[in-house]
Amino acid sequence: MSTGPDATGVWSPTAGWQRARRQLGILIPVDVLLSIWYFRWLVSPHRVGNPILYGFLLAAETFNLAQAAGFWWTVSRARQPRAAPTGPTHLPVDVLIPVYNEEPAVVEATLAAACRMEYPVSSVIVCDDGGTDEMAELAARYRARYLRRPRHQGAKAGNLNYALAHTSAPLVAVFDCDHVPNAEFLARTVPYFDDSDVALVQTPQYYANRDHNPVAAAAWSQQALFFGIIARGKDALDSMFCCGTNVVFRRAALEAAGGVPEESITEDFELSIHLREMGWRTVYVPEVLASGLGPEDMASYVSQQQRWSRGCLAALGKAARSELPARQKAQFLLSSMYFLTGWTYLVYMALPVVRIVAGPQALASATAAQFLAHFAPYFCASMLTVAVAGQGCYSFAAFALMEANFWIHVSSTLRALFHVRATFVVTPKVGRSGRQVAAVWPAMVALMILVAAALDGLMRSRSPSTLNNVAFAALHIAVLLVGTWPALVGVRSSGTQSARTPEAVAPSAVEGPLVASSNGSGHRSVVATTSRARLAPPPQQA
Amino acid sequence: MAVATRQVTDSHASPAKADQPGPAPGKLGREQAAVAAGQLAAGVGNLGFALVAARLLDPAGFAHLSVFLSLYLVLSLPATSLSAATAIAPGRRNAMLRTVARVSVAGAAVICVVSPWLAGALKLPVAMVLGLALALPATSPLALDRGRLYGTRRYERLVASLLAEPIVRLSFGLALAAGTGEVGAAAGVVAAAYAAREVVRPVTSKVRRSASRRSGDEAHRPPGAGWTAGAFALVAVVQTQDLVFANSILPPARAGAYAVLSTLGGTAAFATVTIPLVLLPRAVGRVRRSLAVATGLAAVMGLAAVGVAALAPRLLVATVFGARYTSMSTYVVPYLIAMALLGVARVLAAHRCATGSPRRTALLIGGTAVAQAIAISVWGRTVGTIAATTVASTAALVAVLGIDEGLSQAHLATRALAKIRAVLTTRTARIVGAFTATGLLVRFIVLRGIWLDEATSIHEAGMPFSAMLSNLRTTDVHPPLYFSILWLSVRVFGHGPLAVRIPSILAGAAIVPVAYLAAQDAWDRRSGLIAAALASVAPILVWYSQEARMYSLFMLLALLAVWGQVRVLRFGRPGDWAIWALSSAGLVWTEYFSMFQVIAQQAVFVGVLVSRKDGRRRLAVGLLAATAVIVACTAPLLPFAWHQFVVNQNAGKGFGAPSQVGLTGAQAISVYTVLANMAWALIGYHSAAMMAAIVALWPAGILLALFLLGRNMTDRTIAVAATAVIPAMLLLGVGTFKRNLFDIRYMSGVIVALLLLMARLVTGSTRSFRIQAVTSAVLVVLLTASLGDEQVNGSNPRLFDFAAAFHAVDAQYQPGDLLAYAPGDLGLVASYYAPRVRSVSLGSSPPKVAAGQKLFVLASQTLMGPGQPAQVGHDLAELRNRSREVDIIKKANVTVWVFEA
Repeated sequence: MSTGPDATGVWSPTAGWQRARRQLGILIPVDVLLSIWYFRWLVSPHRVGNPILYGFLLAAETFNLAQAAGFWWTVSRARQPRAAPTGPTHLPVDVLIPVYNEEPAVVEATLAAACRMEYPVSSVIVCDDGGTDEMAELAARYRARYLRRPRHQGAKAGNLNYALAHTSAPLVAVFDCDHVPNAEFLARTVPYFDDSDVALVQTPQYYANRDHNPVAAAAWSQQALFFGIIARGKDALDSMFCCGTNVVFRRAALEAAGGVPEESITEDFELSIHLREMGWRTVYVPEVLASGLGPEDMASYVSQQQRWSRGCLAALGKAARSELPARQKAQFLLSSMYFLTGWTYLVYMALPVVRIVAGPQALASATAAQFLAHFAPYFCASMLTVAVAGQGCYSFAAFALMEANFWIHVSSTLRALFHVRATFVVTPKVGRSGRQVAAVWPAMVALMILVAAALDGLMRSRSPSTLNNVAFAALHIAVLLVGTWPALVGVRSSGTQSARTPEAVAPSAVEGPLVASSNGSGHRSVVATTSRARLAPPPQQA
Repeated sequence: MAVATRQVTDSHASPAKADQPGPAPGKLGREQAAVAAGQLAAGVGNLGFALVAARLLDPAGFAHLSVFLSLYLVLSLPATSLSAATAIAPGRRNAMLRTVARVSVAGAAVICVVSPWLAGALKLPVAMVLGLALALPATSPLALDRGRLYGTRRYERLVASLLAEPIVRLSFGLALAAGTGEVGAAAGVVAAAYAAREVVRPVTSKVRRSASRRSGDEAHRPPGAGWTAGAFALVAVVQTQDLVFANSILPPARAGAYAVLSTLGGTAAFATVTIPLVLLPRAVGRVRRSLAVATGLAAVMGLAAVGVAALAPRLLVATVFGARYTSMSTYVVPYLIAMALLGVARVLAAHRCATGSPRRTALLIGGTAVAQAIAISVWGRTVGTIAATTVASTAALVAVLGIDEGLSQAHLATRALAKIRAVLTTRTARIVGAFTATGLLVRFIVLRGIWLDEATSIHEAGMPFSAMLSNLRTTDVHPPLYFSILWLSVRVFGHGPLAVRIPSILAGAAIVPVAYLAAQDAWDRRSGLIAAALASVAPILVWYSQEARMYSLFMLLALLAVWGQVRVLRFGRPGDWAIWALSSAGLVWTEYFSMFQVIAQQAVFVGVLVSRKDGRRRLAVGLLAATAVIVACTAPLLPFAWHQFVVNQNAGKGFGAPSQVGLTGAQAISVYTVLANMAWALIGYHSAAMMAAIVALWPAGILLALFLLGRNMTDRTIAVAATAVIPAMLLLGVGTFKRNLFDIRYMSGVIVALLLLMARLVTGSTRSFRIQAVTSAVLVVLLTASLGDEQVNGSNPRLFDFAAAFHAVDAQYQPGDLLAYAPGDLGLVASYYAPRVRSVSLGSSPPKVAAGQKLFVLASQTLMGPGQPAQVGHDLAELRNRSREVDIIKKANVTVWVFEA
């Protein structure tokens, strides 16, 4: 995975992009031609086998084509990263760290780093929505402000709004409690607010535990594609949205928007739409300026994905109704609709099962060879485009993890359609070891159906046609197995969390708040005693 | 001064003296190239003089001028050999000049006196002989002073002198030639020698100081300087005496034609003549790699000359010398090869003189020259035999000097052997050795008989060599390298079914260790071991290792080329370039379609050149040099290939190979064809039903594509992948025009590249040794099972049991019986397996036999073209009507019907 590690070994969203851009300049037109070649063949009336199955197949393929076209469009717009403003901006900043019953050890590293930032921070505020005395003590140790709400409503958004009401700096930086900011974070982001139209500046969410945990690695692989070329493309299209953490807001913009929307579980996404509707701009800075933790077990991942898909699908209507320029609206719609992808996997898995068990098939008047002749070039070129655009960051594990969790998209769609109330669930910050079969039970059901169908097919016939469908079933079985494997065998902690104990961090705290430690010794002690993964030095630190 | 002298002295006293680092090879190459460029320019100028003279003069006049030039060369080349002496010891110039001047004047006087008789003997005008005498006092001092400039490394003035000669010839000489004929041209040549002499003539007072300061003690006489001069003179004799003999032996017209050949060859040799002289002072100083640089340059320049001439020898001769000399075009390439060898020999001679025994070197060359003279006297009756003797003589000279050089480097060889022994005793080497032994054993278990294409190979290899080449040129579509190897092999091992497959078996077994080396250099040791394990049992590799065709050699050379490229990308040493260039050239000489691999590898190099940030220049230079070697090595093949193409086109057969079996009825390339070829590459040949089932599993390809997501590829992996993909794509393009050319055989390089990638897939997908070991074991088991099925399953459409079928016929055959076979190409198989059986091709109507006699009808439906099965069915029905069907013998893909009249 090298979406360009930079000289320090940390992922860099812009490393090697010039070469990728040249390659994409060739690949994308080829993609377009090959998709026409495939769909021209697919939509021929002679191709209709079983009309219902054909309809599902066509819908799935059309959806994927739309997503692919959106991807090609977005990545084709990625440009040379803009030069960071170097103006003398020194607007005061409040740093908010929303907390909800997380382990103090998890919060401490973030708090320590926030206090250490090379910028005249007005105040660092621990926004505790859980309300434990330990957190208050932690804040006190670092001389940070501690805010506890009297009424817990509106989840993270409510927590942030409460903090906004009790702070006053013109800029507000927000870090989830497991995202450790780089010392230069504010120095690199605040100058963008020289432009009075800028409402927020977003930076990548880098998973420092990607090399220590397979779930985090796969999740990071998905993130890296987004925070790499996609986010840069969206930025070029003035369509970047807030991702909830590692972000700096202009208070005026937030106040104009009426604060962070509390009725949504993906408040950041809806807030972005609203801000854009009001004419504010968003900026994406493609530099790793904070190191976070990705989900370390399948349950955490599922929880995170459920919240994102539920929220984004719920925001689909808002995006569609928004009064935005067409390209921005299209970009927000593409982002929301991404969470419908699981439906297509369901269709693809179902087709061979139906063919083997019941006989009907989606396509008629087409041999496997004909299908392959039209599909394979389109598929291969698309895969190559993803590989080139992501510069190797998007991995098979990421794809498998997504397909294995297809059911989350299905479930979220149904919940959104039937207006089942969503609740904000905080993504667990600490991975659990042991098997988590329950977290992937829908995928296991699909897997068993596929295995049964494949065996049934093999017992019934060894004709090439049956074998072809068995091979398709086997393909999905393999992908589902890889995707669910961490849940089936249990993910072993590789030390990421073991260093997150108060004892481990305490020595630096005992010496005094790090914010006052200007000689760097406190910094080194934190680095030495805290997880190596967590604090893998971002480029500016190294 | 003393240091340089001591170096010379010590070098003669102690051959094992350690080499000095000296300048970098790049600098050595540049100084060689600069002087060679001057010499080349002079050569071009002299050639220009000759070709203009050829058009100005009548044939007899040009023949006179050619002889004059050759004699001038004979006189000046020994004089040039004096350059060698002063190049070694520039300080000896003054002392030698006095002697040389006396001898020259005396020699000139003698020539003047005997000129009437000499002119008669040489069939030259007396004036031209007198011209030679006049030139003599100029050429020797010229050579001495040029040698001094070599020895003191004053290359600018040296180049000026080299260029002065052609300038005067082209201006003054041609003007005289136009007015007074060949005598005037000869006068121009003499004048040019004096002009060049003036350029190098030193200012007297400065010579001594300068030469002494630069190179050594004036008074010191380096041992062997005279022998060195003698050695160089003898090389000149080897170069030129064939023309002198030709002029005496051949009729005037043919002698003139041979002069054309000699002029071209002389130009090629002329181009490399400076290289040993530049080498000499470096070799005396024991500068490391100076020999390698000089030999490499001489070889490259010689091969370049061969390559240029080989592109269109007929056109070259016709354009340069006129259409009347085109009969000489046949001999141009071999003669230029001889001159290229001579260039290398001259370098070796210089090095031996400087670092070894000049006396022994001179004696070795002298012996070769005498042998050449004897050989020409005995066998030299035609242009061809004289040219062939020259080729053999120069090759022998290189061999003799090379062996002498090798013997002097025995300590290095011992060290190298010790290193090799150390490598071979490692655990890895033992494992690879075990895989290789397994591979060899598996390949020796040949269960199938000779089939159609193999019978063709054996038939051709059974001919005399020249007849075989001629037959290949007129009837075949493959290059001659494999057939030449087979030709030798059958004379050693015989014509038995196993014996004729020995070259393929050995090449196939050699693939195993080379696969290890390639994968190990591309990635790591584990990949290498897995690649070797897979190669030992890979069904398609084993299949073609057991076939008396060129495909096993193709695979080996393709793998060597991949290995070479991987090493170039990783290390970039000259040896790595050599592996790549020579194996690429070998590939083209083995199978024309391997050109696609060469193209693919070139594309990879260009891609790397574009994308790399560092070391571009080095890569570019290496690529250019290696490409020049490939072009030079393959250019001689072009006329051969073109002739094959024309003959096949005229015969209406196109460039198509024998019909592809196993895919009957498929006339256009389909996805199935592509997938089937991929499956064959991985798991070998199987029954049609099994292939259909395997091809149906193509969704596994989607899984593979997904699996590859996020896996970065190094330029070495890309290089191997390109070798797997690009040739297949190009051949697919060719196959759209000629269906049966899209066959895995013609992209054998793809097979070995896929094998390497398979090994990499195992090691690249996981770091766990256990998983790698288990996956590899599973793959080996799968391949072994596939191999078993491929070898013994009679449903394999490529498995023909002709041996059993013909033996069955042979067992029942009685005099008077007849065997009719279909398709008609089976005649060679019939004559291989059943030579005593009277046989005919089954034509439009079945043959008849006398009452009581048997008629055997042997047919292989798989090999038949469209419409043929129906015709055979019709014939069989007619035979059943008129005679009694007594037996049907069914073997794998062959059926024999036995009728009794």
